[in-house]
Amino acid sequence: MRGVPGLDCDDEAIFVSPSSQTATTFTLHAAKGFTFIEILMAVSLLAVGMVGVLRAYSTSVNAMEIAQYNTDAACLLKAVMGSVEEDYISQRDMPVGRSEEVYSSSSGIKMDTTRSGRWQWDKEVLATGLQAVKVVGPVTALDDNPETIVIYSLNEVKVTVVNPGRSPARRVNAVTYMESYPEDDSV
Amino acid sequence: MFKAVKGFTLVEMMLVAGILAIIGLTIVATFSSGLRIFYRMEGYNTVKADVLISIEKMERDLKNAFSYRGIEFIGSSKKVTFPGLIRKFNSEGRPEESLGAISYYLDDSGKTKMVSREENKYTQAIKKDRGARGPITRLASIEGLDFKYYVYDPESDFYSWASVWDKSDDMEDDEEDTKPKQENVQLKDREDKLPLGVKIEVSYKDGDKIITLNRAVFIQPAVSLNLAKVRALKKDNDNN
Repeated sequence: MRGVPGLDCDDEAIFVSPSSQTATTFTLHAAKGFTFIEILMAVSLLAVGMVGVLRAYSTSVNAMEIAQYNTDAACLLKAVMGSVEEDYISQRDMPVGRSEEVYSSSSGIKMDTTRSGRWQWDKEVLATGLQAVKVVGPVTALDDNPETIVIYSLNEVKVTVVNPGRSPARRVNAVTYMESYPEDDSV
Repeated sequence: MFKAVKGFTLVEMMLVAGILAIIGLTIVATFSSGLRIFYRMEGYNTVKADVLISIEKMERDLKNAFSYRGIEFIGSSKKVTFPGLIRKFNSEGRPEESLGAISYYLDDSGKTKMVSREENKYTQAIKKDRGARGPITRLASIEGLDFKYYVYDPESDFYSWASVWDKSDDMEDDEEDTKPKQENVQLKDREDKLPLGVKIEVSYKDGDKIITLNRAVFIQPAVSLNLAKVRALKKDNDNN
């Protein structure tokens, strides 16, 4: 066999190269690895990044909840104001006082009730003390207090809506003014 | 010998496949939940916002409605037409405010039902030409639309919500009657041609649920006139 030059060469190659190759591969693997500290740093950096992303996500969901709350509140407020106005027209007066109501399907107001919690509202009528008067007696001097009759007095109507089942349960209110005629009281 | 060193064992392959599967599943889950939230948000923003804007628009137009000779306030449960300010283009092509008729109705001719707003110029409106139609704006995709009109019955002294408002027949009788009367009396009487208020009820689809919203809008000139009239009547009755 040794007489054939080709085979001689092959024999030598098989013998030498595997051992040298395994040695090279082994050293390369050892150099390529990460240390424990490096992995720890990478994981903590990733954790910090993830926390930031999740925080932003939850903030935006919260902001959306608040926006939906305000939209629903404004919508309900307008509907309640409408029914207050209806009462004022049919009774021709809005007596001073306070009343509360909880939303139900029989209240005449229809709204989006998909989200949790129950809406409720209260109506508060206060006398402002402002009056429209007509002078009936004679006016003799500027500081004179002439005899007057009241045409109407002005009442402040404040409607507040809130949904205690949601957080934050903001109270949203609107204020309007309504005339109260004294002759209506006698009717 | 070469192959035995360079290859992966079955366990290694399974481990890699397992890790890949976990990572892939996590990504898909995150993505699909994100996508679901996105669709929900978009549905909320488009449908509900459009419905709310259309109600605001109706409210604003109805609050500013007035009585005008030639254009009557005509209302049924499905459609309301009343005089108001519309936009039209002048000869120079610039938009300007003009008197006309505004209509709101449920358009169910298309694939989806839409609440639509139609503007008709004064000349079109008084001709009562049903064929001629002004510009139509489709406001929101909804399921149902219903109008009710707040009316006063002087005989029973009672207020109620009626499903129809049409005083156009009275108008023609009135024109003969009121001719000898003074101009300002005529003007005042015409406020009677408006209902005291309109209740708008809109239902729309949010996902697979149908949500209904309603709102009452009162027309101030008609309300003031009615209250003044009723108070004057009450006073007369008390004095007698």
